[in-house]
Amino acid sequence: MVEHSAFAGAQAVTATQGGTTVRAIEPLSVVSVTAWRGQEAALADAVRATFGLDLPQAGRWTAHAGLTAIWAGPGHWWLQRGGRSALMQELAALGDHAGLIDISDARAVLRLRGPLARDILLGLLPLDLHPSVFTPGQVASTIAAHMTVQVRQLDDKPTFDLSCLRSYAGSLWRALELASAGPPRLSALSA
Amino acid sequence: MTRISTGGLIDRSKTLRFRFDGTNYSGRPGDTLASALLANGVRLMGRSFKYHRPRGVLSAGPEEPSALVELRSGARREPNIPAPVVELFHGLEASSQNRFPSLGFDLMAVNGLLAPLFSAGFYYKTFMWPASWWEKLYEPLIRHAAGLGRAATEDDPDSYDRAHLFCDVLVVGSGPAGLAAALAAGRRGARVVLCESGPLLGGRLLAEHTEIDGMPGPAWAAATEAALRDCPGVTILRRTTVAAVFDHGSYVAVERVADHKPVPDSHEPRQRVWRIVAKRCVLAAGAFERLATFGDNDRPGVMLAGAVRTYLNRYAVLPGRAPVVATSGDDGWRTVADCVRLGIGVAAIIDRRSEITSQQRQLAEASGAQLLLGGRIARVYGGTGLYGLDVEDAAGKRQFVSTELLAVAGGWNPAVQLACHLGGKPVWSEHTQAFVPGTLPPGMSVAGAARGTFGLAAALAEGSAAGAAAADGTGFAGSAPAVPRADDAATTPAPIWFLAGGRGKAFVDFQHDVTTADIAQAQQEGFVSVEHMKRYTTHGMATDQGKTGGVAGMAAMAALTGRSMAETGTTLHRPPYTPIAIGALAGHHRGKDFRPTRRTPAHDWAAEQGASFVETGPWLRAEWFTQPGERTWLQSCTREVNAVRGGVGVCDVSTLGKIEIVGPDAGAFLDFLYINTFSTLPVGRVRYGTMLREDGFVFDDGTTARLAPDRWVMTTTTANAPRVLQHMEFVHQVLRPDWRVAFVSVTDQWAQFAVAGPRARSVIAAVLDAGFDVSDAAFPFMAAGNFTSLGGVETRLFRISFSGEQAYEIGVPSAYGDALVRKIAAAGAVPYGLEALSVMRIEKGHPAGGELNGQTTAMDLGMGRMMSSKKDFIGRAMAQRPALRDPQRPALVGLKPVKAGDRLRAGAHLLPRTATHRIENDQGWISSVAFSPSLNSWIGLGLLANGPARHGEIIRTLDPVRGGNALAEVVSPCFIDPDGVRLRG
Amino acid sequence: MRIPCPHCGERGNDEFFYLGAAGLTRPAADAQPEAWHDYVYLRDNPAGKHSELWQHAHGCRRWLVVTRDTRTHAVFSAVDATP
Ligand SMILES: [Zn+2]
Repeated sequence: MVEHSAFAGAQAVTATQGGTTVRAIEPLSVVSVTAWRGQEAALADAVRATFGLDLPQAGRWTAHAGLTAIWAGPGHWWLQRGGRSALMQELAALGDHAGLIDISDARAVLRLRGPLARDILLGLLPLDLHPSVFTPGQVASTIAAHMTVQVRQLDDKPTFDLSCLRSYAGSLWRALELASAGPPRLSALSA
Repeated sequence: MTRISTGGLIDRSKTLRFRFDGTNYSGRPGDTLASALLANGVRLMGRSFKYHRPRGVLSAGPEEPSALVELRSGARREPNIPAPVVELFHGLEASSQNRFPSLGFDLMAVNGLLAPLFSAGFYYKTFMWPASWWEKLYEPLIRHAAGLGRAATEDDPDSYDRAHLFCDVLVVGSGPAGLAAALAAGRRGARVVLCESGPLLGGRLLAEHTEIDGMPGPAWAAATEAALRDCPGVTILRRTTVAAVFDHGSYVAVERVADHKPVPDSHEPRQRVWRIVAKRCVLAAGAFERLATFGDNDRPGVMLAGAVRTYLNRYAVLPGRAPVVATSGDDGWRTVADCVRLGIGVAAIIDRRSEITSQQRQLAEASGAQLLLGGRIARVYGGTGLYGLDVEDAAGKRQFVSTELLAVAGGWNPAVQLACHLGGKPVWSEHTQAFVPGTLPPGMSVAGAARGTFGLAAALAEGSAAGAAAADGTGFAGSAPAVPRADDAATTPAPIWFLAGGRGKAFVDFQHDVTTADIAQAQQEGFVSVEHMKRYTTHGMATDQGKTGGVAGMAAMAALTGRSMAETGTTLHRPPYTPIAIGALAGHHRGKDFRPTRRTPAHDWAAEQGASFVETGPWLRAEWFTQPGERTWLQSCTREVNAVRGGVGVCDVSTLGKIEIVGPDAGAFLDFLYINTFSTLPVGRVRYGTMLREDGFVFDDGTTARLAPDRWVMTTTTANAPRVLQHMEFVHQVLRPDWRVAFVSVTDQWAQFAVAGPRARSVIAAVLDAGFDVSDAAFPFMAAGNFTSLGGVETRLFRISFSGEQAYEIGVPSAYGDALVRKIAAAGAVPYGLEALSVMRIEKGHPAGGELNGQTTAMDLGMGRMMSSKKDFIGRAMAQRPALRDPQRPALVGLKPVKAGDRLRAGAHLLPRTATHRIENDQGWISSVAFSPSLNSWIGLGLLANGPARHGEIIRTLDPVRGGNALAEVVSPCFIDPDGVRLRG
Repeated sequence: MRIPCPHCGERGNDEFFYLGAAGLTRPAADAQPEAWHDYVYLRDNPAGKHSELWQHAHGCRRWLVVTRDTRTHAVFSAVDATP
């Protein structure tokens, strides 16, 4: 294998209690897209026209036909496809309205899925992930175990993608391991 | 045994065995250590801090100042744990503290006779002179004589968790007011977190004989808990103490997850710190009964009257034979009533008032007690356990009463602590005869006894209203909640009971052994303000934070000064409300998990090559690669330098900051950031640049390459990478927002390796895919470009050199870094680490951390001429200041020992050769040193006054701390190949 | 402390990086030294309302102007620092 996992040394899949799983999502093709000031609408039009995708509003993500757009800040998105692809070339036409930078290998992503996912994330993220507040389609970037971590909810299982700098991959894995080590924090109380 | 045969919230079907001071006892599930000891007839539980006075249990809660024990043993031993909060478990092991050699016979009780030595201010006055006696005599003496429990000396084997919780309404306390508040808010649909420090919900309902909605108090609490569990938004945290209030609705609570078990279950944390963010908070923390002040008020057997009721009703324990009840108001009569109901004969009732109600008279008759209205306690008998009292009636007639239990009701202090954490001062309420919360933290309301509302019906009403209002405030409106019904007679609040006179010490702080005499001494010496008095006497400064005795001390000072309680005031309360284990605050962040670690894509490869890793910020970097036969790092480092200078080496430079910059204004942006010009740099070239801070000092340096007309990649130092990115974001967003430039960190995107040495080109040629021309003509020094390697993988190549050799930096996307470095090594490059890199940069005179220290200018570092005068850039104006351009400033030089073999040391001072060793003659310092294999000598870089003009001069390097004193020649900072022949080769 | 990021919502202050006083105007390149001195060094230290630059470093990476009361920490407003 020429390609190396960001989580080399860690198991690819581990089961925690109650059928909740975590696994690495890699490789990915990711391009950072920053609209020039005043060109946000033109960029959104171009993305819609070319890819049939609506750029998400603040704190949200959208997807269409395998292309995902994740809000990363005002006028700033990450466009993402699974697997390795020539995404920079595919997006080149957006260069009139925005700056494009390849960050496919800059991040590491873990997918946490299952009924205990929220309980585990209570121990990691200083964010309110209650279903009345944080729902599929939302994304937030925050600090977790001293790292910048982006969390994105995919569905109601619930499934969350956690993303950190690639060099921190092992530490994010470890933080998740520690956060899920004990019995559930709250579920036991309501059971 | 003093267990009452019926009642109590204990499980009589099970027996728990435990040990206290080596003796075996048994108790019941539902007991605390204190209730179980009392049930076994054990009244003596500890010795006091200074005087080693025998002490029993005063209270039934976390306010306990006396019955403090060492809990568990070995690595889990924990000191100063109040026995009334320790839930009994099978196999519990506890020992009393601060006694020598045994609890019953304490040699140190002689301290009581040496009391003047330990009086207020003793630390400040007694041990002032001679100073040399402090370490040898005073401190060991005090440490042996005074003090509390012993912490474990081994590593804590348990784990601790930290977690986050968000809610609309946080309810602190689950007594009647808290339960009513939680139910009112929960039923409106608000997200509610209810924190109860004990294992059961109910608060005083578990301790008092009450009826709500036709149910006994504990049954109503259980029914309400069930109702709360039916509200989907309610979270109940038992064994959880809200310990601190911070700004903007932030709270810290500690959950004792497994403290009620012998050891935590597998993977279970012992404790958890919750960081709670709440839009509203209802403080329903109840109140603490306060101690009354009289001589020998600390004897085992003297207890708070409310605590006696807790032991009677909740734990079915009579803490002592033939109780005497002393009360300053109606509250103590509840204890009489409970005794009557349970068939316990009362020896005497002392009420400070001259008039009582007819019901109280009937109770007194039913109890069989002597009634002394307007009476007082004249003398307490019993050292290690109360056996009798001299009591006086209103006429001063004195008589002896045989008793083992004195239940004292001197009024209650609202638990105002959390209301004060943001600076709000409690205010004295004449009506309540207590300090009540003043200015509250935003979003907090207070209900029930914590607000000074002591009646049950009133507390339920206040709790319901506060819960409903809190829910309203977070968008959950509704009709008025049904208030649970209770019929309790209104009671008159009791004044503070301060009884002057009597025999023996009258304590106002049991845990720190502060007496009324200490308060009087403080007053005499002018420490009249309660904040001064507190610090002078240490009153209220022990782990119990004066929950029972705090106000008694204020009252003593008020009496001495003739001021009112309102004028006297009270001290401020600060977090935490009750002590928190440091381990709980650290959570999982200890040992190797103290902080996260960044690893490069070549980490595993480097480990295989024998790398020793060093932490540089969060990064782990390979320092050197130990080979068989090498015994010191210097041997490894020297071999690596020689391998590079004599052949070719490879070094992982992935940690250097990399920022990719795109857009039509990127060139102008770089010109604004750097002192030199980048907009003129041709595509396919790299340039070295220096950045200043706006104050004119050097901020960072590195190279920036132009890969396409509007695409650049900047490198920064490893240490400054995050700060440079923040700085660029500031400059763009705040100073130049209209520029069309975008940039993100690509440090983690690219695995990058330096390949250096006379044979570097051949290795690069072997690593790149076939067909690329990297000859000097096609790809000269300071060239940059896009290539492919590893069969079509995008590859960035830069012809830059930190070592001074022919050198390249080659980068691939991080997933390919491992494969690339293995290919580079297979092509013959020897791995070299950070130390060898550093040696070679010192040999070449390149500034790094020691020189980029935030105090140096571009001129100091020999880069003054790089500063463009044709453009504005960050730091330009301030760099022109005359003092920053003064040639007498210390500037970069090379230093070489005059005597071969002399070692230079970083940090050494530079002085003229013949100058005396005084600070006035200091002319600079050595910033970096290395052993140069190429010169076979230690060499250094330094910052020397007027240095560049002094090449050839012999100066002194002086390192008084390590005894270094060597002569050195001032030379050019570039020790090797000053004309750059090698790097262009 | 919690800061209401105008882009991300209210977050704990450990997500933010603090710089210093906001509202300063960088002098022109040819401004007098006194103007530069004031810009780089001279700061008010009010007991009360104060506008400061904070970066939402772990969030949207935007520089914000946060106006708060230095005595109570009450936050009056938080807006993007881009003029
Ligand atoms: Zn933000």
